[in-house]
Amino acid sequence: MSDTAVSTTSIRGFWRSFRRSRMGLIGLFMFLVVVLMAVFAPAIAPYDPKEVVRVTIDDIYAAPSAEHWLGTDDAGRDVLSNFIYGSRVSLIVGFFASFISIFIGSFVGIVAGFYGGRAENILMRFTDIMLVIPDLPLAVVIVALTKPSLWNIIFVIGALGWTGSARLVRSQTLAVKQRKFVLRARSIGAGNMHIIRYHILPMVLPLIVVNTVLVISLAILNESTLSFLGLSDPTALSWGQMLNFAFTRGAMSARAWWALVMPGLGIVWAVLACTLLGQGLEQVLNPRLETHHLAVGVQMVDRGAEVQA
Amino acid sequence: MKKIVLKLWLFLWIAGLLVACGGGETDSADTDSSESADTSSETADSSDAEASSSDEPVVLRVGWAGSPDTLNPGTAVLTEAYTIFEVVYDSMYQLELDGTYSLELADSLDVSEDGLVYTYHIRDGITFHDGEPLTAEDVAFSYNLYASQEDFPFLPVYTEFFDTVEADDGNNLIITLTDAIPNIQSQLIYLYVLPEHIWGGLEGAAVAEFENEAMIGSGPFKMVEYAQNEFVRLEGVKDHYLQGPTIDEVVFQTFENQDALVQALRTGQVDMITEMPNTAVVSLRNEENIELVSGPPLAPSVTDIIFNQTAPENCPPDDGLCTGHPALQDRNVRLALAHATDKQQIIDVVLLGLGAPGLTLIPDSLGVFYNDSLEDYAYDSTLANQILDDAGYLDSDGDGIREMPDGSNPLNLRMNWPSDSTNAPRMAELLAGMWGEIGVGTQLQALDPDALTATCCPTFDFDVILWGWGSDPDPNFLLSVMLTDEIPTGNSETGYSNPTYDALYLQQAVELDQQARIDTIWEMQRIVHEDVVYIIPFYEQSVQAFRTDRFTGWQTDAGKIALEDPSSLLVVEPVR
Repeated sequence: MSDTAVSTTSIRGFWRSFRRSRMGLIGLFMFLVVVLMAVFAPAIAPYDPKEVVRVTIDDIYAAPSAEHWLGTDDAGRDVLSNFIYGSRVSLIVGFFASFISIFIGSFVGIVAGFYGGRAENILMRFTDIMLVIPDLPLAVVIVALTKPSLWNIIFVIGALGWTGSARLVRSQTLAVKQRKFVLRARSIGAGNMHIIRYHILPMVLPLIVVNTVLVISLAILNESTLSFLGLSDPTALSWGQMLNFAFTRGAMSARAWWALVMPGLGIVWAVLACTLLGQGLEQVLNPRLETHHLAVGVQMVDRGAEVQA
Repeated sequence: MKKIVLKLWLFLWIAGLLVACGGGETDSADTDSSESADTSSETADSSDAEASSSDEPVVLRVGWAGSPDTLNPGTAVLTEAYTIFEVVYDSMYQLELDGTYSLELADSLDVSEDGLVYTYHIRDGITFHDGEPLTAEDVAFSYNLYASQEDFPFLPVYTEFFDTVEADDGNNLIITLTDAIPNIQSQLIYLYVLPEHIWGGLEGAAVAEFENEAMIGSGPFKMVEYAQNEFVRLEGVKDHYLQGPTIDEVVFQTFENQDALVQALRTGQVDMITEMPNTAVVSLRNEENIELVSGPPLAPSVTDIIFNQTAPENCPPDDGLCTGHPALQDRNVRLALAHATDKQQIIDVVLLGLGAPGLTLIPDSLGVFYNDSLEDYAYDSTLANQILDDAGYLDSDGDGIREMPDGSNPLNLRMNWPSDSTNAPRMAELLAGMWGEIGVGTQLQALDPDALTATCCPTFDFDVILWGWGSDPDPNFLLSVMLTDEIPTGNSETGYSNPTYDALYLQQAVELDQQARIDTIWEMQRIVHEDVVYIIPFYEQSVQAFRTDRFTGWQTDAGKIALEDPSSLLVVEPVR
């Protein structure tokens, strides 16, 4: 293992490298804020959104005040509390849906790239088909036909968002497959599964990690869109749903900007955080962005192995 | 990656749009609204110019968030289409805002003693907008057309009891009925009279496909220009045989959503708006030169909380799944739920107070037919708990949800509503909270209206649905949804069956004495209320607004609120 490789492979080295990406740091900070907000929602939020409250007409779309820092929504509930709790659904959907996406995408990509031939043909043509079908209309149709529970939303978003990752992983697998050490492993009798497990996967993993973070932002955006269209689980309070209620129940006419701006900002914040973080990680982890084809091959080999460990 | 960035920008753009002007949900919607805003601002500009010179035509601008679906009276579905028909066409009767009927095309009427033959004396000298005379022949032609056209979705219902419709030489229209019916007025109000010299040339399917863009009628306004989803421009017929309008023109301007509508009224782009979100009331009330009016709507409608109470023996054999929770077949449970429902709270939150507590399935806007003598089940969760305790529904496993008296089947109710409803989600949340207080659990889920129809009726694959009905000015239809015979047809969404009620329904349908019919109908409402078949949470009100600095004379205290009705459009005049 050469010294240059160590600089970016150990945790400390990774951090040192990541620290250089200002955008990545901003993304990480923004991301942590959302995660902390979601985790500690009950402690931070001034009110419990699920609580049964008696409201009067004056409480509806009440302007920001000392009691309600960000005003109230169309049901007289505290917008700030809804906003804080809303991050939970967005993150849950974001994480789980992107894991599903990445799992399917990586599986398809590695199988197609590694085995090649007919398997690759079938899988990649299927990927192409999925790629050209517009996600949103398809998601709307599926959600409308199935029961709109939170897990259904997660499943639909996850099942539709894997195509990009599949193509990325496949191309990386194709590149790794050609390396000499794969040939060496094979010549000493390693089976396909062994090679995928110990040689291919470690090499494509950085790419997968980066992609996961980027896909989270897509999933959050998709969840918000579906909720905004009124297709989500009505009991799962999310930012998209807050927008939906504000939009369909006359926040505009009531001039209640707080009911629209807050969830909108939340979505932008979370999506931007994931995008910046993903790009920051990509600069550190994606071998192609740092080195080029003339660089020494060994570096890449080492790095991949280390990150996996 | 590219995709992500693109989507992000798209989102930012949409978010910006939302904040800036409250645009539509889709790209196409935005284009539409900006287009319509453009046209209207042009017309608004010209109105400023008009004000200075009195020779210019007086144009009233009405803003609404819809547009007629078609100008063909046979196939139109949307309320907006009927609003236009109401002023461009005439029919035999005019429904007044106080719920009474007055003769329109005829000046008098003879009814045979057995109530089977109606002879209408059509007024002389009526002409269509193209100058051709309107005679009893045209009326007979129109009624026979409606009766014979199978492609017309709704109108054939109104001619159901017509045996023959003929015109005689003396300009009289003779309708012979198969059965004596008590409500011929409400049967005739939506049968608009069409010119035979135009519609007579159409055959078969061509009738339903006829676009009718020229729209020759005999009403107080005539069609000048129509662009679907943009505007309808009508010109006043000053020498109308009954009453011509004071104004020269009225333009119905379509806006993309209700928020845009409110904005248009604020800025003076339109003089009156036919609808608005209840949330705008507070901010508009303080606005100068704008007056808000609210009251029962012209077209009655009822919102209901539907319990699936289909008894196994009534389950439709072909389509029925009848998976309703068995507890809902017990009146005690429905009664407890009624006592646990705080209607005022629902009205305050969902309608912002702009509604009246609901009572029976016949809404208050049906006037004399509405049985206001009934006493509603008071909101009292202690009493509701007591009722369930006494009936044996106890929470035996301590999870906060009661079970059936035999300890099985927890009272967890599936609650569905159509996903296009803006009121239902909030109502469902409130109900879930209120019913939770008496140990009844709920699983909330919005369904696409088609999917909801499929789970509803006659499948009966649900527990509770939040939905509603639109109604004629006559209660006949609303009463019919509770009939045993309607369980297999899909009109009954409760599966309610009561032979006494069924018998009373048949009785009121042929009762010619108005007061006797009303008594029967009141009794039917009492029975349904006693059995807690529905919970009627509220009667919604129509909320409209107009600019006080443009036109005066709006009919705001005549019982119902409908400023787009001829009753207002004919009499409003510009503020001098």
